[in-house]
Amino acid sequence: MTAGNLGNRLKELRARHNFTQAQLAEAVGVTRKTINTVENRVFIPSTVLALKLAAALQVPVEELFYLEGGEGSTPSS
Amino acid sequence: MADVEQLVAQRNRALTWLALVFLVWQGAWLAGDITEFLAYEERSVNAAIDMLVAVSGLVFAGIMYRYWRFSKKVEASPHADTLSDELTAHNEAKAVRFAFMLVLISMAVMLAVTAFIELPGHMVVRILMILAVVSTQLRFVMFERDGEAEVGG
Repeated sequence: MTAGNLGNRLKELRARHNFTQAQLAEAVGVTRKTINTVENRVFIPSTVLALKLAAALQVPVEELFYLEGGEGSTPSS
Repeated sequence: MADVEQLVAQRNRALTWLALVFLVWQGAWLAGDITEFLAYEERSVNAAIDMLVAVSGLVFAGIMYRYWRFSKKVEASPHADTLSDELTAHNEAKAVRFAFMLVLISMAVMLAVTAFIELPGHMVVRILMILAVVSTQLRFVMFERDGEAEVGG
């Protein structure tokens, strides 16, 4: 899988919670750069980090991440 | 969090300096090997190379000591795990893969060269060591600095 296949709504949900990248990074214990690269679809996070991000943003993980172009490609809302 | 950013920047700077000074140190040593191989006997050149090896070796030891102290400081800070997060591990793995490929290609090139020139074994080993060490560190720093498409709030 490439980073291009994995869509995310990180930026939108982060904005909804008024989190900066640095604040979200601190909440899940990674660097701000990690959040930035996930948000910009440069880096695919591990399952553990995906779950931590979903927990920090108080949404199910499938609402935060979705596959593009295929089954399960639509983000749930 | 500003502390983390600062530590990441310090680590990148330290790794860059380590790689560059190592390159000068071992590069000068390699130059000494080459002059010996070519039986080049200009005393001032050989003396300059010896001096460069000695000075850069001392500088490298100093930077290594500072890096060791920096790593102790990081271990003692609450950000130790954050600094080795999964993106960092991913970048490390990519840098090692890059260096591995570079060393393999260099070995193939040197193997071809030995058909025409008989290279001394210690020179070959030194070249491969320089490539492995320097390319891993510099590529890691480049990966760490790359990839920020946009910085969000």
